[in-house]
Amino acid sequence: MSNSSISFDNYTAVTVSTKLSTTSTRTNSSTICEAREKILSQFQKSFIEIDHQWKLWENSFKEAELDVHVKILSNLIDNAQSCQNANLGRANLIKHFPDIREKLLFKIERDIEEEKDLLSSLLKTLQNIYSSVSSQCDNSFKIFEKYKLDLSSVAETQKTEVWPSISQMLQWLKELEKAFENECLVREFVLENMDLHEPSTTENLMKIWCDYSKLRILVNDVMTFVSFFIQADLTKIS
Amino acid sequence: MSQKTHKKNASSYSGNNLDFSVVQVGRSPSYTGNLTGTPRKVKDSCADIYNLIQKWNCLNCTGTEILKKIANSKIQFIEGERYIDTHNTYVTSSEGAGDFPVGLEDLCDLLLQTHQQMKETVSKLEKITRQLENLCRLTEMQKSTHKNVSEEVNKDPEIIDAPLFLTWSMRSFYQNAQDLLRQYQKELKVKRCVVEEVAHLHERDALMFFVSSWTYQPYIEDSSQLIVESMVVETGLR
Repeated sequence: MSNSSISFDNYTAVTVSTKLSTTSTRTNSSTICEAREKILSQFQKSFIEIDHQWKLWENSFKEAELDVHVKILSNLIDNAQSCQNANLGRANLIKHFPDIREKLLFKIERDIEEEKDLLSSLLKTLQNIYSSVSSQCDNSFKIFEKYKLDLSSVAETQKTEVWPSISQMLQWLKELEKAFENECLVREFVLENMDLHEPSTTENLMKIWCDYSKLRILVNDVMTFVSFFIQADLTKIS
Repeated sequence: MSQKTHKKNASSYSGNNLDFSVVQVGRSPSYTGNLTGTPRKVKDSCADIYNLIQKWNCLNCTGTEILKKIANSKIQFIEGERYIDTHNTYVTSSEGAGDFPVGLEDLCDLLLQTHQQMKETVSKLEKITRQLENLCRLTEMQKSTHKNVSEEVNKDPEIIDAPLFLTWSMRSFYQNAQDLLRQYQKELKVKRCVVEEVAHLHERDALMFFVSSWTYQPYIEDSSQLIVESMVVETGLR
């Protein structure tokens, strides 16, 4: 009897311990799921917003007719440089009108400032777009920081055929934020350090202001990878 | 504005009084039916000035296009010469180049015709300014020889400078027209120098300088646009 009671007790003990471990596992799983759901929900919002901001970015360039204004600015800078460097020692124009060069440069530089103002207003729009992207990335990172301890490394790195992993999405968010920031900073630098005496100014202007192909490639690639993810209904995931 | 109203408003303002008095602007004669006499002449003169300035601006644009063609053909010619000379392992002095590109003479003739039309425009402007000057003298003479006006009032500049339409006196119309004339006469001389010398330039920077001198009109100040607009607003043409 003692043996049977012992065996019964052992069975009970095993059963109870099994039940206890099952409850513990179930508790851990639900915590992980909840954390994963919160993180994915925020990531989804972020990618949708970044996609929207990207469309605004492209529209801003189209509406500003950037290539036209940059060309005008380049021509004006070219004019200013020619006027500064022109050797007119024997010309009657300089003899009869000795102050013509200053008056001409004043007018050209005023037109240059007007065009620069247009580019500055476009730059502000781009900086606002970058701020939105950056705030989305910040929110995503904060949520991740909050729940990362509840996540297992498996949950963090788990991906499917159509969904990327959390760690991948984090990396892409960071890259996108950096790319938008770089695009704004480089344009700001060129605009603020425009030197009318430097012959390469116009070349830099055209090359840097009109070209955002690297950003376009990055955004298109990332959005392609997360396209199924951002369309998914996260409430239905287990 | 009547003299009484004018005097009343003048006395309602004192230097120590911080309250602003409302300026009563009299009803413009241009709204009281058909104008006659001095206001009619002044209104017609302002309309003529406005039309002449518009014509000048059109001619300026025409001249700019012709000059661009001259500059482009000269630059191509110069660069073509340098290419040939470089490949022959010597470089000719640009001062010694005596040949001209094909078609340059026709373009220069067109430019000269444009300049001639601008010269006619300025002479019409001179004529109108002389008319306004004569009107101004006549107005001052009439007011000073008026039998019922006292000696003190004769010397009062506010009476002599009473507004003809809204706010400008006869003298203001004449002085502003004179100011305009001075600017356009000087600018015409600049354009004359450009027409005479542009075909003989051999450097790109010098050509650009001359084209810019024509296009930007360095001696036409920004105030000229304001003067012309003020004239048409004053006389009720707009």
